[in-house]
Amino acid sequence: MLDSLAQGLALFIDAEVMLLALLAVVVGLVLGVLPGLGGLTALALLLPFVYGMEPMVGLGFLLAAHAVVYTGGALTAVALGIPGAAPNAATVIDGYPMTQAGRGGDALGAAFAASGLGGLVGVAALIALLPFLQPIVLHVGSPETLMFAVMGIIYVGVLGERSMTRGLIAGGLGVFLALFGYDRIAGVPRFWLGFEYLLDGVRLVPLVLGLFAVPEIVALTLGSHRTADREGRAVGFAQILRGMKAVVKRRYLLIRSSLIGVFIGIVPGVGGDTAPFVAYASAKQTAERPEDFGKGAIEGVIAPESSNNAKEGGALVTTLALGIPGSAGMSVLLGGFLLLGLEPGPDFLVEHMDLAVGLALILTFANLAAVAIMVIASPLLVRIADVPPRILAPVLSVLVVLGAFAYQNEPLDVVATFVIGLLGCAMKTLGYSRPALVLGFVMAPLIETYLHISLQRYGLEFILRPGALLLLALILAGLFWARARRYFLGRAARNGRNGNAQI
Amino acid sequence: MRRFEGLFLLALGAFLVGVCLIGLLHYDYSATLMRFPLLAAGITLLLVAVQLGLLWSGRGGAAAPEPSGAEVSDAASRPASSRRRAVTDAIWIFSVVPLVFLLGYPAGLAVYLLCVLRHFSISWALSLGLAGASFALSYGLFVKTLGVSLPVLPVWWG
Repeated sequence: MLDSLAQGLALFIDAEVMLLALLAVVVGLVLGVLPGLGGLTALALLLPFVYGMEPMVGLGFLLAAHAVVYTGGALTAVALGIPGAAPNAATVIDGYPMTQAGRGGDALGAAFAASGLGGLVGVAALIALLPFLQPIVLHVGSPETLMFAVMGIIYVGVLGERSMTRGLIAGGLGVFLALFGYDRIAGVPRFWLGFEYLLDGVRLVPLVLGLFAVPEIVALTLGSHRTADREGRAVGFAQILRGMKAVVKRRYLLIRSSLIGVFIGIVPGVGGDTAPFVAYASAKQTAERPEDFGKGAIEGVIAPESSNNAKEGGALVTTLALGIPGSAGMSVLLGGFLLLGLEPGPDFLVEHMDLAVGLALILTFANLAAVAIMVIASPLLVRIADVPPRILAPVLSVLVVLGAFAYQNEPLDVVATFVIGLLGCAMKTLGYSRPALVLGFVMAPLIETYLHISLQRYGLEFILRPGALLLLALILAGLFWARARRYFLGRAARNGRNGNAQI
Repeated sequence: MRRFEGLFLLALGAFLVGVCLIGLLHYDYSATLMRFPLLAAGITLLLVAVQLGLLWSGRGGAAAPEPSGAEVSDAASRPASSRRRAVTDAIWIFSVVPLVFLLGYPAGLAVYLLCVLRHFSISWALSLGLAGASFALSYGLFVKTLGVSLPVLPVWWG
C-alpha cells in the first residue's frame, strides 16, 4: 500500500495533471454557478476532451471538475436563493435567509469552508477504505464480477428513482445500445445495418452529451429565469472569514454531516440529492435551537454543504473498488475510464491502485483549490449567474457541437448527439433514469464477457457460487428496499396531506 | 403524459424487437452471437410490458421528471401560444445540426448563434459579439491552433 501511495503521489505531482486539474476546477465552479447545470452536465461537456489523454490526466480532469460543481452551486444558493444544482437545494433553506438578513458573507464563508473540509473528510474515508477493499477484490472471480456489474445497473436504476420499472428499463436499454458494432468475443459486427458509422457501435461521448447536455440546453431555453434581489449580495472578506471560522467552531457538526455524506455516497445509486437533506435533517434534530432552522441558521448551511462534497469521496469508493458508481456522476466517470482504455470493475483496484490514490489526491487538491478560488472570486462569479438562460443555451449548444466533433473528428457524432438528445429529453420528461442508461451502456461489454466466461467455466451453476449467491441476495435486498422506501415515502406524503407530517 | 409515455414505450419495444429480428432473420447471426442481445432485449421488453400494463391499469405512477436546479415551467400548464413558442424555441436550438452541415462548422456555428440570439431578442451588439467569439473559438482555436479537422467548408461543397 505504501508503494501505491508513493506511486499515486508521483502521478499527482505532475505539472500537466495539476494544471489541467486547476483548469477543471475553474470550469466546474463556473458550471456550478450557472443555475441548472449540475455535475452531470459538467462531466458530459468535458468528456470529449479527455480522449487521448493519459489516464491520470484525463480522469483527474473529469473528477476535479465534477467534485467542485456543488461548491460553485453553493454561491448562487446562498447569494441568490437559486440552487446551482439540485444537491444545493438544501443550502437555500438557511443560506438565502442569511443573505436577506445581511449575513450573506458569513453564509458564503461557511458554505465554502464546509464544502472544502467536507471534501477532505470524503477523501480521508476513501484512502482509509481502499486498503481494506483491495484484498477483498483480489478474490472476486468472473461470476462475481458479472454480478457486481448487474448489481450496479439495478441499484442505479432502482434506488433513488421514483419508479423501479422505469429505472430498470433505462438500464436495459443502455445495455442493448452497447451491443451495436463489433462483438468483443467473436469479432463480428452486430446490428450495423449496412451503415459504416455503426461498425464502431453507438459511441459514448455522443451518448453522454445527448442524454445530459442537450436536455439541459432545451430546459434552459424553455424555462423561465428566476431573477434574485441584488440587495445583500455585496460581501466582504471579513464576513467570509467569520463564516469560515464558524465552521471550525462547529467541527463535530462538520464531521458528522460529512460522514453522512460519505455513507450515502458509498451506497450505490442513492443519489447526490439525498445526502444534503439527510445531513440537514440530522443537524436540525441535534441542534440546541432547532426553531432557528429555516430562518438563517448557519448550521443549516454547514451540514448540507459538507455532506455534499464528502459524498464524492464515498461514491468513489465503490466506483473504484467494484465498478459500481456511488452516484449518477460516477456513472459518467466510468465512461471516462473506457475512453482512456481502462476497464472498470474489481480488477481496477488490483491493477491500478496508484491511479486510485492519485485520484484521491486530485480530489483533495480540487476541494482546496475550489475554496481558495471561491473566496477570492465570489463577487465576480456571482455575476455569472445573471447570464440569461436564453444566451447560455445556444452558447452551450456550440460547445456541445465542438465537443461531439472533437472526440473523433466525426461529423456524424454531432448528428448522433442531437438524435440521442431527443431520447434524453423524452427520458428526462418521463422520469426515466439517464444515469442508469449510461451505466448499462458502460457495463454491457463487461457483463457480456464475464457471462460468457462464467458459462464456459461453470455452466449455469455459476450462480450457485457463494459470492454470486451473496450478491444476488444483495440485489434482491436492494429491490426490496426500493419498494419499502417508496411505500414509506408514499405513506409520509399521505400523512402530510392529512396535516400529520412532522418536519 | 401517460399517452406520451405509452407511445415512448411502444416505440422502444418496436426498436428492440426490430433490431433483434434483423439480427436473426436478415444477418442470420449465430446463437452465441445473439444470446446476450436476446437476453438484454427480452428482459427490457418484459419490463416495458410491465410498465405498459401499469400505465393502462392506472397504477403506473405519474411521470416524474428528474429534478433540476433550473426553473423549468410545466409545458402542459402553458397556454397554446406559449406552447407554440416553446416548440419554435426548441427547433431553433436543434437547428445547429443542419446549419453546420449547410455552412461548414465555423461559419455555421457563428450564423447559428447570431440567428438564435436574435430570435431570443438579444441585442444586435451582443449577438454579433458572441457569434464572432464562436467563429474565433471554432476556427482560430480548434482549426488553426489545435489542428482539429473541423470541416470549414459546407458538406455539400464536396
